[in-house]
Amino acid sequence: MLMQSSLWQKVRADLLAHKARTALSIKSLTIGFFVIGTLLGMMDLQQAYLDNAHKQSQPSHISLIFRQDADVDLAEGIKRMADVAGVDVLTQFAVSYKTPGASQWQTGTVLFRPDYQQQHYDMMSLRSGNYPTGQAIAAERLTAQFAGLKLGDSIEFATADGGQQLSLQGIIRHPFVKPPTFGGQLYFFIAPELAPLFGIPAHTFRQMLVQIKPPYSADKARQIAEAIRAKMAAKGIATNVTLLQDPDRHWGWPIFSGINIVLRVMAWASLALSAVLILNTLAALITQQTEQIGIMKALGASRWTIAKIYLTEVLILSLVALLIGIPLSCLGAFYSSSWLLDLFNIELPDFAYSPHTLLVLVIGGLSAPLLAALWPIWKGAAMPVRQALASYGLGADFASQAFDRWLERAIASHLPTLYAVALGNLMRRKARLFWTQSVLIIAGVLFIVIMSLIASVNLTLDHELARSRYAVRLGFSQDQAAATVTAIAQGLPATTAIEFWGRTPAELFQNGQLIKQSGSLGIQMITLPTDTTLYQPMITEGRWFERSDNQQNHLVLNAATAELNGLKVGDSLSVKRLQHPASNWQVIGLYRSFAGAGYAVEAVYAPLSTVQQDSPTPNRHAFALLSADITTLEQEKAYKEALTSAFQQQHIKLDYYTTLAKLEQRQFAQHQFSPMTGMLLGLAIMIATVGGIGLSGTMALSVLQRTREICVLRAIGARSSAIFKLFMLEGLCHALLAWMLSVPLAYLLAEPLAKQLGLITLNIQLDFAFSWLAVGLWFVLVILLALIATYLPARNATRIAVREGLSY
Amino acid sequence: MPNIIQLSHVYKAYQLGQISNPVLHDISLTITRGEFVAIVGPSGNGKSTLLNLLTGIDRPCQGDVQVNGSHLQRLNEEQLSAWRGKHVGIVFQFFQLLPSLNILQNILLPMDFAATLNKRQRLERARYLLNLVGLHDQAQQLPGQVSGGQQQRAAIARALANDPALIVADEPTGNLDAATADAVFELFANLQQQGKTLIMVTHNESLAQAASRRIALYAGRIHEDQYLNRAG
Ligand SMILES: Nc1ncnc2c1ncn2[C@@H]1O[C@H](COP(=O)(O)OP(=O)(O)OP(=O)(O)O)[C@@H](O)[C@H]1O
Ligand SMILES: [Mg+2]
Repeated sequence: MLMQSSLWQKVRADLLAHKARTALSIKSLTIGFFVIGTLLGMMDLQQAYLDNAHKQSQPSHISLIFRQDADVDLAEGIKRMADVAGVDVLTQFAVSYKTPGASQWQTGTVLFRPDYQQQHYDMMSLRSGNYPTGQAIAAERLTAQFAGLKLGDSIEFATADGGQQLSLQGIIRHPFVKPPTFGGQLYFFIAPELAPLFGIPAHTFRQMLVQIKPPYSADKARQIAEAIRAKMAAKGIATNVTLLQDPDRHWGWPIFSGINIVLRVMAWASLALSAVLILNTLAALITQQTEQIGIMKALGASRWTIAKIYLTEVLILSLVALLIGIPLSCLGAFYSSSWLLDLFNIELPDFAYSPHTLLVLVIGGLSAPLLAALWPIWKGAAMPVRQALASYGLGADFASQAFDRWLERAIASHLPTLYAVALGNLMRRKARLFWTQSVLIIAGVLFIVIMSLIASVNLTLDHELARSRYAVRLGFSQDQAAATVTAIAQGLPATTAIEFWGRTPAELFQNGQLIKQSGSLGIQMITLPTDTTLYQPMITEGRWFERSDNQQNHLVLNAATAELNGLKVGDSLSVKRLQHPASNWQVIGLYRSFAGAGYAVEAVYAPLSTVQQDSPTPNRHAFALLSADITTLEQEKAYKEALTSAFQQQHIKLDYYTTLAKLEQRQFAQHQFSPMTGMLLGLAIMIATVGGIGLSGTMALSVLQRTREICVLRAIGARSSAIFKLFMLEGLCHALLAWMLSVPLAYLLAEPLAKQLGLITLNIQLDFAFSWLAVGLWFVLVILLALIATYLPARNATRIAVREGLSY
Repeated sequence: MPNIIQLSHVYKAYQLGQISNPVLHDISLTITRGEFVAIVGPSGNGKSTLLNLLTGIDRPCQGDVQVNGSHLQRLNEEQLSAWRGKHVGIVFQFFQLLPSLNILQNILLPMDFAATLNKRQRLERARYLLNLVGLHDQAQQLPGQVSGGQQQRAAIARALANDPALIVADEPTGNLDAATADAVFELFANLQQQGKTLIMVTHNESLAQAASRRIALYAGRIHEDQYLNRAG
């Protein structure tokens, strides 16, 4: 692309003579490259390291949690089973602990493996210090960080015989624990020989990790899990929970896919933003140079020669912007992914970048501005000489379209003059208006959708809460006699009613085939009185139990599972309960499951009276549901604590995982969702910031292009305050317009999008609530954003000296 | 005080890098109220620069500029803006109407800035001015929808909005055909009869001859200054 030196001279002069415009163009392009590079790089790095970290930890395919402590030798028999590739065992249990300086006991989890040096699956790796030996323990990396624990700290544990101080001597990364920021607990690791201290026999395990032989499939894993359960049951070890884990998917995957949806939207918004910036700068260049274009054409320049000048200018601008933007975006992507992945207990190396993103950035960064510029430049270069030379004064561009004349007649002519000028200026450059608006509107819609998602989560929790009328549900490690439990519970004055529920692991067959499960957890039959007053799930089809269902083989099934298997109300299933022959049951209703909160096994509800008929211990139960006079979380906590100690005195062990208090559970669920929704909200606000940057660029350009107009206003007596107000008004018009357009759009999109996001990232079916609060908040936010974005350009406008732009 | 403008020993130079380029040399000039002054001279001889000094758009390097009782060098930019709005009406060669405002709103604008009249009075005055320049039918049109002559008449009406004592015009007819230029000149002559002071830069010698005073600038100095009898 050789050019005559005079043309080069012109390119140089254009770029150097209008320093403000050149700086603005480079700044705009750099911001565009930075944002897009950061977003693409972030998505790339996340994906790569998430998968990588997951594979490196050798995720187990099946994880079985047993009801009793099993001897380590029992695992040998499982190892030899066909299709089992390998087995690891460990034990996890709940403890009460006190960190140094803490006055209250807290609940955490203690874990031990028979040999920390010989781990095969769900690999936990030492980060600092030593693996636990003797009295020395270790803490999980993130939880230690969260609780501010250091090596050498002494932590007190409630043990079988009082308290015991143990010294923290190691930090271990456990890839599969939920970090505390996501509602997880503190995790401690102990040496296996320390187990008896906590009342657990040495040389035992309570959880088994299994990998199956390839090829992996969820169905195959489920079948093997079933075989292992049977084998363990034959040795007198019952299985409480069965977890299946996809070997290719990190547990944080659903959350990441939610984040990635938002990141993708952001990338598109930034693309739109970059388009605004590029088009803005070019439009400014061309309009400022129409006269020069006319003169050059009059002197015999061809259309191509003129286009070449401006395309070269664009290329130089993009090159400079890329040189600044690339390193910035690499840093941005690295630090934001490190931060995000760290929340999921995944560490990045000292530095990482995505070569793929770099390539996209270089190719896109050089070609996109050129492509965007092609049309305006080609059009500008085609302007007839006469027209180019005749464009003078304050721009004859307004009133060239019917829309402008309509706007003038219908609205502007009724406004005070200053407002009319602002509105007219807003509408003067339609392409710029469109792009700036689109970024602001995307931000607004996203903000309202995410706020609606939060509102919907709360509504759903409220609905679920309204269906639970118990205060505390007690889960017993061993089934307990109703009379004993009633006596203890009624010893507490707050208790108003007691109901007993039972549970049995069960398998459901349809036409001789095991039915498919909607979740990865095993199915459990939950048996309850048909006239229960304390809980009722949400029935989507059929009905809930009535008195007439007593002693009938009637089931209420999870709606998602029913759908998966094509089951309808009225269908028959063969049900095999533990230690019972198979029998025929009828589906009378479907309920909607509210997953997401903690470990909930998939429940199939059945009348208690039916299973009591053939039970050897009809009056012993797994659960007791207690209702009590309780309104606050504090009362509930006190009540639960009183219950726990009352049962402890009678040597009845409560199961940590299945004992829950209603309000506490709601708070827990809310806490569990809040980092996710908080992160989404943060992203929406980032898009809004991107929109603000776009708006600021648009306004800065507006000021640059209207130097002469500002001078005319000055000449006819406008003070700085009037000029300032004029531009601030234009910025506010942008904000108002964006707000007005985003509200109806958000209203249409909020329900499907929020439900989808809820399903993907939180795995719950949401009851939808549109957040009108978000509409109001967004109004305030977008106005604030506009004020901030417009402030500097508007102030610059007041500093233009009258003489600068005035050639009479 | 009958003198509306008093320039004494005004010197103006533009700094171009190291070089100082003198444009006006030691100009002293007095203009009395009610005069219609035409300023003529070859291109690049400082006519526009002189007008800029009179309107406070630019400042002299030395000397004193006094207009309508104010020493302009004592006012800051902000005060100058407000002062101009009240005391000076400026008419530009390229009209410089705001494209997104209709003709009526363009005329209202200086009154809105000055904020001396109430809303109804402003509208009344704008309509009166539109009548004066013969644009009552074009009030709701946008500048882009009317002819150059009509735009210039609207610009003159805008310059008159705050009833300034002084009206300054730099080649107001430079972009108009002869007949339209004559009409604009007529308008100025009428304004003089109403007691306004007018200062107009023009390249049109016959229009200059029709004013009440003709000042010729040459090489930054007053080369000729003659009072003409305006017999019509
Ligand atoms: N902003 C500026 N910077 C430097 N020099 C300037 C500036 N404005 C004007 N000049 C110089 O001052 C001199 C007088 O300019 P001025 O615009 O007053 O001339 P003029 O008499 O109005 O000419 P014309 O009839 O062509 O309008 C010219 O030589 C010009 O080059
Ligand atoms: Mg001039």
